[in-house]
Amino acid sequence: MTTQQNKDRTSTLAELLKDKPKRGRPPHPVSRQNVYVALTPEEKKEMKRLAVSLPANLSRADLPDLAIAVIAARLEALRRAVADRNREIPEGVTDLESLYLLWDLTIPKNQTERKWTSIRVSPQEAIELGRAHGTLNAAFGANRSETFSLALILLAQFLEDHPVPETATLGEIRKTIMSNYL
Amino acid sequence: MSANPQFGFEIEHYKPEWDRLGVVVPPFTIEADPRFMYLSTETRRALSKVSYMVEAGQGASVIVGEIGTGKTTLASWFHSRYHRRPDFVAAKIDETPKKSGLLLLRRIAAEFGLRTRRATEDQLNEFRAFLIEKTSEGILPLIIIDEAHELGPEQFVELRRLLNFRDPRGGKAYQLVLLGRPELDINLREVPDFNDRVATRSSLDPLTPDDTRSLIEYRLLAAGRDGKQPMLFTEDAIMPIWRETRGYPRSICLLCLHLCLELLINNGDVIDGDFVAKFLEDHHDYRQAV
Repeated sequence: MTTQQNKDRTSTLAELLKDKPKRGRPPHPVSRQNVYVALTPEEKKEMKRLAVSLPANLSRADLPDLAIAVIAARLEALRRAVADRNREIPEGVTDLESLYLLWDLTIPKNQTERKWTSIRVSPQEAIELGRAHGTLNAAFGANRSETFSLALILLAQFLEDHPVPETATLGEIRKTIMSNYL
Repeated sequence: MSANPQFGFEIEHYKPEWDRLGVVVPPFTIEADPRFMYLSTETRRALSKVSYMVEAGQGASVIVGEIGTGKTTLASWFHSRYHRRPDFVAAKIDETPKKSGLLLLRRIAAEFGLRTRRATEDQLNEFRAFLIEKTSEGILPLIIIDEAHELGPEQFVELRRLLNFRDPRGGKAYQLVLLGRPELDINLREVPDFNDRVATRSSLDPLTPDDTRSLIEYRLLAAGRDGKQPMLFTEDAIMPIWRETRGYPRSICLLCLHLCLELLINNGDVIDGDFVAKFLEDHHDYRQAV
């Protein structure tokens, strides 16, 4: 065997790994944080459905970031709309369901059992989720899981109303969300 | 005074023993009382959308609904909630003056405690001065007009002029909530200049059987009945009530009021399907009894 042939031949290990889908957490430039939320089986199904509608270079793991970006933008828009008033949320929004009604969302039926699961979110989104949870908890006593459920439904509404290009990146979709609501 | 043939007693002198039903006040009054306002899904939708538009300074909001769907209660709710807030001053017009735009402006001015003027321009100047005074204090004026389906084209013109006033943020200075029967939507189509300025439209529909049950339970709780007590209205009483009233809240309250009175007269404990059916058979014209 010549030296040239030896150079062209790749190792057996490299060959084995080449076409296999990568397992485990997808790599991200900034490491993501675990956040625990309780989701219903319907919400998990919805996450699977939404993942399919995402651009090719995004995966299901990116859904929580996007969902939190949408709820953060919507709540910020609400805050700005009632700026100068002495409340963060309008007088007539009396409970969490009223918020669903205000934003023309279908009120979920909370009959099925929720199961704890972890979502992985970017550091900024973890802060945004905490802020949204804080606002909704102070106003309506909503917990983190309810906040994330609302975020998921808002993301579904966003993706339905504003289909994203197949080549869009996470950053570009975030920008579209901000420009749409703020 | 003769006894009422419906009930066999002098109804005006009759003092029901409400405490026997476990309540401290009559639970089914038909007056518009925001304390007893049951928030159905449609009511909550209207509340959230209209209050958002009001607080965001978007101008005019419209709520339509048939007779007895709770428009006046909703108008009272808006007035009571916003009038007590330090950043709002609210005026509620229950009955609009006929046709004249100036008379409407004068009525609104009187509600805000402003001077009433004889000329439209003078009256608008009063509103302008009032606006400057209030916006400097960070206060937003809110005008609630009930029975707005009775407004004429000339009155919509004057309301549009009020909506043209701007606050320092650039938002609409006067917030307007119009509540009326479905004819209001038709009337608005004839005044496109005003119609284009409507930020949100909501409708109040009759209640579903589930909402009917919830309304009855809510009213009893609001009147002081302990939630741990056995049900006063059983499950099988709900459908006959809903069928008879077609889900209109005022009709539900009127029928339930009569059912409660009948129960007290008969020293009964519970209102079930048979009780409702017998009552409707014996007192089919109960609406004329009071």
